[in-house]
Amino acid sequence: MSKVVSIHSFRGGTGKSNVTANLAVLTARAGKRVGIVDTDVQSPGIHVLFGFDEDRVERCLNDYLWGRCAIEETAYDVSANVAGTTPGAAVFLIPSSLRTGEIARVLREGYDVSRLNDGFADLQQTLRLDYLFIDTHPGVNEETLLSIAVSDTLVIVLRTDHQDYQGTAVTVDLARRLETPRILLLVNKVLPPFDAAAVSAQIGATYGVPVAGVIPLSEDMVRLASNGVFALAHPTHTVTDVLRGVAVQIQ
Amino acid sequence: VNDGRVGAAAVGEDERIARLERRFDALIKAVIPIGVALLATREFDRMLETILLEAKALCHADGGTLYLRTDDDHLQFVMLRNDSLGIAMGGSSGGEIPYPPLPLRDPISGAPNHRNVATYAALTGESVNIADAYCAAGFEFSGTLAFDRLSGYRSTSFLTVPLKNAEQRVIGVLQLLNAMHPASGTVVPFDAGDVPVIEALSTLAAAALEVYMREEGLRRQIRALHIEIDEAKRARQVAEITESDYFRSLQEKLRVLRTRPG
Repeated sequence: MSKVVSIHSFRGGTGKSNVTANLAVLTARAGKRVGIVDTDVQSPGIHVLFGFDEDRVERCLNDYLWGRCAIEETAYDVSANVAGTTPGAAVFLIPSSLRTGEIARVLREGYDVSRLNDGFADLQQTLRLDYLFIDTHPGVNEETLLSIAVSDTLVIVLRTDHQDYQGTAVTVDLARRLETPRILLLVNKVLPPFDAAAVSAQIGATYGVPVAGVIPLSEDMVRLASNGVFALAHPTHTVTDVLRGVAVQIQ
Repeated sequence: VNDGRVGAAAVGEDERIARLERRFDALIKAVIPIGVALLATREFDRMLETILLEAKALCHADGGTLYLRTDDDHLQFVMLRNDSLGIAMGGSSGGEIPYPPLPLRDPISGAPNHRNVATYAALTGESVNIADAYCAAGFEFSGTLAFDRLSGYRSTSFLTVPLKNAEQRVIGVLQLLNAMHPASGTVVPFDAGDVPVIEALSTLAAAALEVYMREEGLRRQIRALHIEIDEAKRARQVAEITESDYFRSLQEKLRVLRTRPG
């Protein structure tokens, strides 16, 4: 039985897509089959991290949501780029469309959110996934609520910022109401110098939720920006160590 | 400020050249490498210690103290070393320094405290070179004398240099104690020719101290995160969502899903 892991943040700019990509890759490198769904159909982006040429994408999540194809037809095997040589490892990416027409249609018409749920289940089965990572849209809308609801683990990414504190409180409450089995917090972009243990203890106590990791704001991360998966570009970096620790807690 | 006894004696040309060479050597072998190391380091407290030890070594000083100027205008002991007494406090030694900070001003009158040589250097921004504390006019060495009485030590020569930041504000003081004659090991006055070298090291120490203090300030700020959650707003936002038809139907569907076998 595969596990569903949603990565969410209340506001944009927390580094959510980066975190999702890294956790997925690090999990795969532990010999797992993972899928990554970009449900951020209004502002997709995770495919960029995998060096995905959007012109070559024939089918994407939007096509499935409009009933044009089966969801497994929208999955791209990117294992060759990211999984390394670990036996059993595989990474599949299910991108959202970047075509403005498609994005406009999502905004205009919405889509049948329950279809998304069926899609998650199909993916897990047909691709024989150990883990399905969902990169959600920031804020709270129907598809994020659905993603949170069907997740085994919800990872909420936040910064040490007033608005993030408030939004995280709301998301934690909603996840509890939806009885998500496991909620983890990931504090990202913490200004160095910082005391990881103190940040972790304070934030954990505030929400009554375990803090899976505290990631410093890293120049190297900023430099790489969206040009790749950080854990692959910097496998021995302290940031990668923290991400690896989070990936272990998810497994 | 120089009490006149140091470097006053006429020196021969050979000795003058030897001293210049020594200063040149000190700049090349100590000051510049420390400057380069500062560019790459993240450990500014370690660098401060390196600078203190390097300054001590250059003057063959038995002791050295680094003070920090606090926001409330005191000189606080940061690091203290005394080789012949085997004292290492502050820095990587891990030992706390028990001495109280020196006030830069009289707490009642607000008058500048020129009595201590360290506070004098901090207030005036001038280096002070004293050949023998026991017969130095104008300064009060009561703290030093008390220390000597307790330890059996004889504090004699002092070189005290203010640490100035880029804006020429004094942010600390470096003080070296008891220069030793390299050959005989007897306590001698600090060579006036060494003062510019120690002053050069002090500009590096000031730069390191400033970054260190800024980072410490940030660290303290982050240690005490200011997490404020508007609970009324939180409850309202959560209610708005959980009372929606979508949320209720989602909960309903989940109930069915979760009771399904497998």
